[in-house]
Amino acid sequence: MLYEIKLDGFQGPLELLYQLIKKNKIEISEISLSEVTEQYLEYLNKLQSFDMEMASEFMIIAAELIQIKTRALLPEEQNEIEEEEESSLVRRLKEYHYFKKLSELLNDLEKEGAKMFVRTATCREKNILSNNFKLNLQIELGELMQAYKNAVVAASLEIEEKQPPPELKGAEIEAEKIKIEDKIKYIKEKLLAVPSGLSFSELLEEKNNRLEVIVTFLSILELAKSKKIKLKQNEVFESIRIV
Amino acid sequence: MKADILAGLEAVIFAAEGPVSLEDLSTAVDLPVEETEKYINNLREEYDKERHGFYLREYDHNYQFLTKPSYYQLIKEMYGKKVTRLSQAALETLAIIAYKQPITRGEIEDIRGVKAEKTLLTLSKYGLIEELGRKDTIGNPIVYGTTKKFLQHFDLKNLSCLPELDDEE
Repeated sequence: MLYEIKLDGFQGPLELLYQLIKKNKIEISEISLSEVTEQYLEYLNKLQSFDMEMASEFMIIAAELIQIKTRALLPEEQNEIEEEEESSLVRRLKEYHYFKKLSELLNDLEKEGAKMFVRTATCREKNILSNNFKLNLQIELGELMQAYKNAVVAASLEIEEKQPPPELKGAEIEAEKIKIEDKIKYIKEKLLAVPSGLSFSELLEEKNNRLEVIVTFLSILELAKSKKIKLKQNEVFESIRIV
Repeated sequence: MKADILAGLEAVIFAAEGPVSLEDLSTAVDLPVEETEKYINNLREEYDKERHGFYLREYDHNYQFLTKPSYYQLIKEMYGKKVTRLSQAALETLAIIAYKQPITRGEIEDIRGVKAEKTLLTLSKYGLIEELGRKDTIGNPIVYGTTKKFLQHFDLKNLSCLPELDDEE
């Protein structure tokens, strides 16, 4: 008899054992475990593919089950010696069962809790500074004014530095101004003209064009990858030569 | 017991977006914490009465008005409110954390017999658990515990109100 366990609710070897015991309607004990050992192993055989980590977890439990089973088969006298200490698997299963029960209690609470609703509030966050908030600043009015002016100037400079935001152009896509293919050709020509090699900055036509820097860099990476050029650096932080 | 203080507390709790802490309430009405608590208890008693559709709930000394469960059906039909419930795996993991906190991921996995990483992520995402710190053992593993939101979600006044099993197995 094979116990078909639903894959979506799959919870590992302990869950499987737990379900087997529950299905056979038996107590959690060594005897019951030895009874379900075969069903457990049968299930394991049926499982064709599952990840290694999970598999090893299942195997450990399988080994423990077999140990329990063999112990159950031994004559009574020898059995008594070990009977006092409960098998660790039985203890784990009992603990598993215990938390299963607790989660059922939580489930009931959740069901009740879900029946309560809060008012969907529109009030904003509470005022950070309360009314009796006092700030004790050891500062002259003039100094404060100056500090404020400095802050305003700094802020306006910052705004100027920032590029104006690009205009929205609908779905239009600008054509590539600088193509990697062109750049690769350009780099090859340059290097043929200068056999001793070049540095990165020497390869740049306009130094301030960010797009060009990026494309040049990408081209070099591409060339290096396809082993058309070599990159050399004699010392750390020294500029890299492109040969 | 002054009516305006009672009404003031009621207003503040009503207007808040979430649970209001006892400290905040006592600051709001400018009364010591113990005094404020007396007022709140009075307010609670009032709303527990049958003629009110919502009542005052407490979660670890935070207060919030919530509609009474008996009117769940009514609200659901009217507004079609949906509620998210936790999966079996999440619930079991959460039970372990709730009853054994502070607890490490390894300890949870020992009990469950499966990896707990994903479930822990989900539970943190919902704000039901949080990292409490690190355990002083090899590798300093993170220890987890439940949050205030956990109390709210399960309508528990505090952690000592967690239900117990009748016969401990």
